[in-house]
Amino acid sequence: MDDFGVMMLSWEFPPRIIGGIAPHVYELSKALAKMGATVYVLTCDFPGAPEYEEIDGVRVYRVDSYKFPTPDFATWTSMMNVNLQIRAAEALASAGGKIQVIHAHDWLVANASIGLKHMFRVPLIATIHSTEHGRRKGIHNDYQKMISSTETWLTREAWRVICCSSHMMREVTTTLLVPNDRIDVIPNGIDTSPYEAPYDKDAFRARFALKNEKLVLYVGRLVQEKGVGLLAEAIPRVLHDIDAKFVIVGEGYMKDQIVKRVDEMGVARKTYIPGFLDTNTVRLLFRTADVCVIPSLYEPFGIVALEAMAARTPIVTTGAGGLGEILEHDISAFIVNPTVESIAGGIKRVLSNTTYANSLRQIAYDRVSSLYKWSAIAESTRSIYERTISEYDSGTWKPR
Amino acid sequence: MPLNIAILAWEYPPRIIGEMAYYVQKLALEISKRHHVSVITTHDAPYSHEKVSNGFEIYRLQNPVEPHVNVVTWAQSLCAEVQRMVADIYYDEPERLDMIDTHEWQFAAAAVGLKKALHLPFVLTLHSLEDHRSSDPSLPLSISIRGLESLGAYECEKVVTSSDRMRSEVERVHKVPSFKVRTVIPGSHSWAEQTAQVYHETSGYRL
Repeated sequence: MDDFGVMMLSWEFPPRIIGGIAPHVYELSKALAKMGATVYVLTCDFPGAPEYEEIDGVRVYRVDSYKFPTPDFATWTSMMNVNLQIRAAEALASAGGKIQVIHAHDWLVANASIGLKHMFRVPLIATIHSTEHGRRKGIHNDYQKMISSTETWLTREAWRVICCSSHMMREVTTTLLVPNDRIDVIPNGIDTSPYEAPYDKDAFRARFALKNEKLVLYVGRLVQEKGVGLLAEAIPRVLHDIDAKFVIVGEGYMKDQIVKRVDEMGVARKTYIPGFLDTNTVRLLFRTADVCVIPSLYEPFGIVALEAMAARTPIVTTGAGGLGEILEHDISAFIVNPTVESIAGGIKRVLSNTTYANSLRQIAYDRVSSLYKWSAIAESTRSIYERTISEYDSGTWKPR
Repeated sequence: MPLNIAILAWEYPPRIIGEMAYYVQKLALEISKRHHVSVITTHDAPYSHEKVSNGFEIYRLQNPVEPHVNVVTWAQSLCAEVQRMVADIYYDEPERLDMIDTHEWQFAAAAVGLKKALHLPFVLTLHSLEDHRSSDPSLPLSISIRGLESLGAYECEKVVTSSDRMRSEVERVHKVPSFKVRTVIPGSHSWAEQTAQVYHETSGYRL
């Protein structure tokens, strides 16, 4: 099937970047368009970004995301979906049958996507990037129950469901009750080329650490589920044996708490917490660091691991959730228990043995540059579209 | 010429919240004497399809999402289900649908989507306005509801109101040009004929 078309619906798309969905939809759409597919992306508007543009063959429509006050996020989502669906319906109607699949990303676009599916009788594919149950560690109130119910509805309406890891697949089968045989696991991808550009390593390194200090890097939201609190506690134990600078990049509700804690432990001078940094600086930090620590307690996928692998940074991680599917202990990463002692031990092991660290770097890089290329991810995604289209063509739901 | 009309109503007997349920029932009974009417409504009924007569069928839908945090989230997930039902009728027999009459703001967004996707023109019947119902129209929830009313009033071919006072309020609140608004007084002897007249005018807009 050379000539096929897909419409993606996503509440975030660059330059509007809130979480992991934006980069995912951006790279997947571009890779699909590169294969010759007609790709539409319907997404929320963003100050300064055009209402319509073509990015490497991807047709991007940015829709008024409803700017009036709403009582809560879910109500905003409902109103945003009204606008999103109208614009999507106009685009689908004028595409004249070129779009054979609608691809929805998470519950945030469920209302619009499900209505479109039925009105145009085009099959729906849903990627579940994370679940409300996983994000909240259970469902505790009506608001969360409503979101979880919306996720169930979306997966029920979807012809096939895509999850980015077996871990997420288990979450979707157990909390949303989707049968295994309607789910496909396709990992996230990464473009390794931005990690190759030449740069002045010594000058860049000097911005973050002294010459005698090893550079230990954490990149991620500063929240409990990412395990950054455990890393903070591990700092004095590492410093006891090795001189190092801990660079903790990201924002989150735990930031003040961590700043206070490193001060209490007397390691503030050995810690740098710069908050949110731009993409390019973060990429260079990965390339400069002597070790990247991913101490997550909950991780649906773990894009940060792919970034570290692409930058050839040796990884110390708990292997939580999807991380354990990407990384193998003693081969592509050093996997530790989610405890302060174990994390400190892992960091020391990698920092003290250069040969070992180099072996982790090389194997991790070889894996990421073959298995997690966006072209490979897009190829797998296309085979799901093709399967869906052929089932649709031979079924009775297709209009006569 | 008989028309095929889908009436979208968020209340309909036996689900009775206010007067609208009876209004829509009487209207549908009258109109279905000469035209084909499909009422799409919601109710947790043990059956979803009821054929009242050859010209009159009722489809009762359940909300695909439970629970909800407010009436806007409730209405909007139901809107996708309303779109499914109308689309199912349409794809079953495209000539079975000429136009839609949607009552109040609840399913207005469903009607707008159906207009864009299946080129079905629609009438918006407004029994009351959020600005009048709400104790504080500046509350975010009321602003959202008024937005949905406005969207319906903008996208529809005709607005039907039940009094000239409502008509002037609709024109004022939603900036609807007066040629788009028709007053049809419920219960008047020519109520059904006048409504059918609006339906005829509207169906002429079908693309």
